[in-house]
Amino acid sequence: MIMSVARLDTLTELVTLGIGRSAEVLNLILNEHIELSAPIISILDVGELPEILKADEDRLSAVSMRYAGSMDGVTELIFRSKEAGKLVDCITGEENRTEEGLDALRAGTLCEVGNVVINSLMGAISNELDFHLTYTVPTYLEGGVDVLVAEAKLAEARAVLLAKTVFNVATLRIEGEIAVFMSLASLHYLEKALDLYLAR
Amino acid sequence: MKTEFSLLDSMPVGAFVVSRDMTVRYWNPCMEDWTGIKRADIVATSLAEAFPVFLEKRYEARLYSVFEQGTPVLLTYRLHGNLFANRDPSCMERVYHTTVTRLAGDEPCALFTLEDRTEVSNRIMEARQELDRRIETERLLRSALEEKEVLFREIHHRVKNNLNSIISLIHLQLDAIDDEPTQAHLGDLEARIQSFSLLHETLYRGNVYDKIDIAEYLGIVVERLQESTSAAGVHCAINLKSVVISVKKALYLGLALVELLTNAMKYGRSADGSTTIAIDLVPAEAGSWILRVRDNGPGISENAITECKDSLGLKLIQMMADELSGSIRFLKPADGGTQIDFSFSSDIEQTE
Repeated sequence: MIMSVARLDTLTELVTLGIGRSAEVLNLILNEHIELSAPIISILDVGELPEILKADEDRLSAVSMRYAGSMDGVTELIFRSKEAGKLVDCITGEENRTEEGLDALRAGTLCEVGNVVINSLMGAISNELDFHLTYTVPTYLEGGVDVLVAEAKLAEARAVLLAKTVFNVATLRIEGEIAVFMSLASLHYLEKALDLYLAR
Repeated sequence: MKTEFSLLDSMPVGAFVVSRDMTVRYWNPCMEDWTGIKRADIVATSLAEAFPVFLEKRYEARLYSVFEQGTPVLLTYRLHGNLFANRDPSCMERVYHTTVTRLAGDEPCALFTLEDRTEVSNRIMEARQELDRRIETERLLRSALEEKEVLFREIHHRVKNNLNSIISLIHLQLDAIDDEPTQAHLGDLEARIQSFSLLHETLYRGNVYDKIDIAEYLGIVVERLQESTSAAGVHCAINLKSVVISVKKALYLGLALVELLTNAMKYGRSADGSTTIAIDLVPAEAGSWILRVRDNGPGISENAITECKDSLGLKLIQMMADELSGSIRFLKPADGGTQIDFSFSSDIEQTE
């Protein structure tokens, strides 16, 4: 999917703003200082996601929040499960555990991190572009990329705004992805909102 | 007290409502039980009076997004601890995940719902403790196994050294004796003990202590016997399959080979003075193998076989064959020389 450079630059600005705010909030609640960045963003067809994530053999952990209102879709913060475990153990100061997947408590912690990041990101986009969204509470997903895509398809999403995100916590560097899944109608709404923002 | 929030009374989770200025608007019975704070004592007061933690900036930032953006907020036990601890310290500590959502209405309010995860948490803790115990047990087992391997190696090393000491003593004795038959007997004895020593040396070098690669072991036995006899013009052609056999059987086989080789070196010299000895290990009938030693000498006569039967060497070979449920056969191949087939049964594992 192609989006104009001006729109994509504006979106990058808004994503950076949201990520910056989420880092501020995370630093208030976590034991460790955390730095976040989202250097690369792109707009894709949902069908391209498995290839982009290249996670055929890796188990993925994701925090998912549905949104509705001016736009409809799902936002997910996605990590490889091993990386998610490392991130959770690092920010809670617990000994790194080696087991595959996250137990309910560790998944809950990841949910809260995802909640902060998604709230800040979606808040920044909707506030700046001046539209309103409502959200469901965050849920934890674990499995292959098909599990994440299935969740998006439930929301009839066809396009995805993908932001590669880097968490720097203590000596750890953990890469994740923020995927804002949306319907084609929502993508058109977003493009119009970006045009209005650019015209201000 | 019947209000718009009365529905919360029937919910099996802790639930309460605060207004934008953090004044408690409603407090359900579950919250009364879990915190020990009665509804009448907290409604219309600031949440921060009962729980001062909510004065902290981090909660201000999180609740801002609830009221201003309508985004739900999750507060988990591992990052926040027990936010709503019971006033009575003797009460069991509960593990909550708290979700804060905005309630639609004329006046912005936030609904706090506390999901009790105590049982899940306890089960996870128990599972983790069990996992940690298993990891520790595995570590101890590995350590014990490593210690056992070190001890085995040490034992084989010591046995090998002791046997070498005996060989040295025999060697010293040999130097002090002029009588050739006695020297020959002591030389044979030395070769037999050498085969035991080599077995322990091979085991010491390897990392398996109950089985041995017969090709490696018998190969060294042949090599050392050639060196110790210093027999000129003796050439050994070894063709042994790399197979694994129990240490006990290898010991019998090693001793039998020493006798067969000693015999071949003594009597298998060809007319031109050279001796070529072929040593093969070949599979025979099901479960049986043949250790074949063949020389290029003049060939053993029936009389010589009969005479040999009283010799210690042949008695030993027969004893080893009995121990291995096998037999020996003397053959005279058409193209000359003597061939002795030492057959034995063994659950050999082929490695190649």
